[in-house]
Amino acid sequence: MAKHKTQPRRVVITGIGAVTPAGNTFADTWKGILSGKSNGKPISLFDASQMPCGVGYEVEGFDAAQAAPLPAAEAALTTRATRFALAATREALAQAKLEKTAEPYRKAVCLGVGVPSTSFAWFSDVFVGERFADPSIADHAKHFPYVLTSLVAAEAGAKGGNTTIHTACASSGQGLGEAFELIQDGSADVVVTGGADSMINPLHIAGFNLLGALATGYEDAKTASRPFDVKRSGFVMGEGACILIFEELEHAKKRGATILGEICGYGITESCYRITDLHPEGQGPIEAMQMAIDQAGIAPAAIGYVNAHGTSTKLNDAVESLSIAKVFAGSLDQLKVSSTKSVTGHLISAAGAIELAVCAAAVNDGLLPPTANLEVQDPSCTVTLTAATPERRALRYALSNSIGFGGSNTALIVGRYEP
Amino acid sequence: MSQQPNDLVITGCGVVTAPAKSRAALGDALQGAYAGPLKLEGFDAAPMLSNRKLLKAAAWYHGYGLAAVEECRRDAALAAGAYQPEAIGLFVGAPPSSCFDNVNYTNAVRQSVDPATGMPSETAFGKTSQSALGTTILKGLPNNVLCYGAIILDAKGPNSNYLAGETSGHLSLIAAARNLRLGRLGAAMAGAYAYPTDAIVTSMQRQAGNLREGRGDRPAPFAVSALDAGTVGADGAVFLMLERRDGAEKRGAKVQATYLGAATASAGTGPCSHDDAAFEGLAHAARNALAQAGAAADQIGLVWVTGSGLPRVDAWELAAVDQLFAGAPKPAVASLAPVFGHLMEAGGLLECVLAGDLYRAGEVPAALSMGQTRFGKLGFTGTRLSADKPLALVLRAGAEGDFTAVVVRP
Repeated sequence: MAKHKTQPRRVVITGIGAVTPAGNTFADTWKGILSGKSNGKPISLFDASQMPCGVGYEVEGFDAAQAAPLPAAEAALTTRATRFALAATREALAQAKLEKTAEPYRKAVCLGVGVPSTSFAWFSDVFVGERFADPSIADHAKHFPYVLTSLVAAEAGAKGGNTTIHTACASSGQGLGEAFELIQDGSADVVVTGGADSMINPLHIAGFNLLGALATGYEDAKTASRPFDVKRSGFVMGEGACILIFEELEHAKKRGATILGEICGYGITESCYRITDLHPEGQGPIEAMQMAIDQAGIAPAAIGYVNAHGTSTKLNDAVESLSIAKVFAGSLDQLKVSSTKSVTGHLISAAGAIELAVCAAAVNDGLLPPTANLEVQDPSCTVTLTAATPERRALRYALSNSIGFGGSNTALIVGRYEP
Repeated sequence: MSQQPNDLVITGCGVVTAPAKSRAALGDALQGAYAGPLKLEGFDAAPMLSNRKLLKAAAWYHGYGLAAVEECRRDAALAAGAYQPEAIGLFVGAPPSSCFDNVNYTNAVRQSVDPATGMPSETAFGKTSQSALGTTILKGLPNNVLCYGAIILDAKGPNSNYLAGETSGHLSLIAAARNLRLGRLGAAMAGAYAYPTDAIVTSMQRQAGNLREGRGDRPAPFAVSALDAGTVGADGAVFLMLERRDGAEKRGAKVQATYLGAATASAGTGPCSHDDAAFEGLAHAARNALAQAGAAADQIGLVWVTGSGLPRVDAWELAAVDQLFAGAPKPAVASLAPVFGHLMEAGGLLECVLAGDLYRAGEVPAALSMGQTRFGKLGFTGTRLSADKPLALVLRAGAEGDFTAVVVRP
């Protein structure tokens, strides 16, 4: 099988950490994803019973004090998403065996982070009530995305620069892509990258409900998210964080780090169409996938698995399927596609990160994750989806798509590391 | 440093600030040392936009960004077809806006009062939020300027949206340059918008004791006394067009400055840290930017500092510049903050093109010079600019310890 184009500075993954509705470590998340069991439930973080979609994928059994203990001053500056991110960072750094004090200026942080998720009580009391002199106003700083990045940098001992990106559902796809570029162009040897988000609050869930983006008319919470299924009706909100350690190959080899995969290509485009809608012909995602494939210098046929953005909305899944079919036209019968959002929910700004990590695990373990809740495939989605149970298949390369509100599209290719 | 075909050049600039609502108005604002309000009250972007419908789904502050994008495109004379849409990129720095600061959300909350408690209730909000009134989440999306700006430009290439505080604008410029150097783009617009005068941010700064209220209406960066310090937030947007020199020359674009190099760093100690040694990060970024530019400190004739007026951040900038030029001729030091206020995310960009105006005039206007501040005590008293030291260094220092540096040749 043809090998990808060798880049001047090769970028490999040496650590992965995650806190998701499928598990509070990456190993547990991967196990949960392979199980194909949906973690959708009625939302417990607030009373969503009056909303058209009141289900979500929540992180459960997570003990922040144990997973990521912090001094009181820093703890006061954390949100739910921040605590997920810090726990995932610890896990990733531990796996990478990276010393906190080593080469601080050669370590950077590049994350996709969600928008401020204020509580309903604070919003109604302080914001709507215009009580701007309330002491709680100072706490609002914890919602600023760059505060999360700054805390992750402190956790990692990284002084090479902090980058915080928000392009909706493409945020962490872009975070990973820019991390890849920062190492490629010599700006850093190590980048702590990934994403974190938690939007399960009344204000965001209300907004997405009104947009008609969330699932409705579902039989039960577990089957509400059903990517590519004929009965799909919208996405289901999730939350969590996934942090990956990207490292320059020679740097990783010198340290004796375990290599979990190689980043081979990154594509990034703007659909330039509408804020929420995809272009019906797939303009944007198609070019992003082609850009990543071109950069990797491989034929589309070398890619055996695509982890789709696969939100479970009518439009996304149909257009994404069309896009994949166009890009992989010559090898579509050999390509397997799945969406893991029916197990994890939609992690929004963390979605691209967990889904690339899933691709890396799929390549390493030779296992394709199932698409849960796929009962009857929508005939307009012509890609070949994975079965209901994990499928064993030797993979050399896998591709992860992210498609965001606002038109940003990313595609990342991860390959099995070969010297 | 000879000019190379693959040099990156700045060919356009769009500006919306209180002192100057267009590129053309900058000169007057500086000459007159503008002293009016820094909040953009009642700014109407519509007359500046070729597609006014874009404003319908955007918040008022997105109008600053979209107007600056439109002016930058015109200033660069970037005609349709000059580059393929896939070869045009847009990189934006944005404030961490709340999704909810719009009338519909506020009304829905007000209607969700539980009669039993007299207070708004989450449960009732579940219903009121779905009423015909509409609770659009789209208006507050922080990537609206990226989305609608890309439509204005027909920019389908690489893009990004940074929510990184004071360094956001520089991060957009650095990403634009990286994509141009990778050959992925022919033209890349980079910029940022900010509205730190909104009620929430102002109140947060007030509680933290960061505001200069009652002590003048402009930041007094590098003040001798902490009592005289304090920041003054300013609204605005600045966008720059970046191209490869060969592409710009081919289409006859006017070069406003040459982008030579940039770098980032951070204190790495978290947002609560008041680590005095954090300035090392800023000095490190500056040294790396100079290295990328292939330049030495003694070629720098002008240093632009953030001058946010926050004592901790000012001290970092002071120490970093002092360290950087130890043993080298001391350049002039300037800040836009005394005239423009603290432009937060949108700062650090205008400086890249204004450096050219200042070099042509041969000096730094008194209103911008930092020679009378603590920089003067360190020997940075000069205001004259000459071709002997032809480069400008633009520094950004954020309150969370995030640092960037950009080197330009005016």
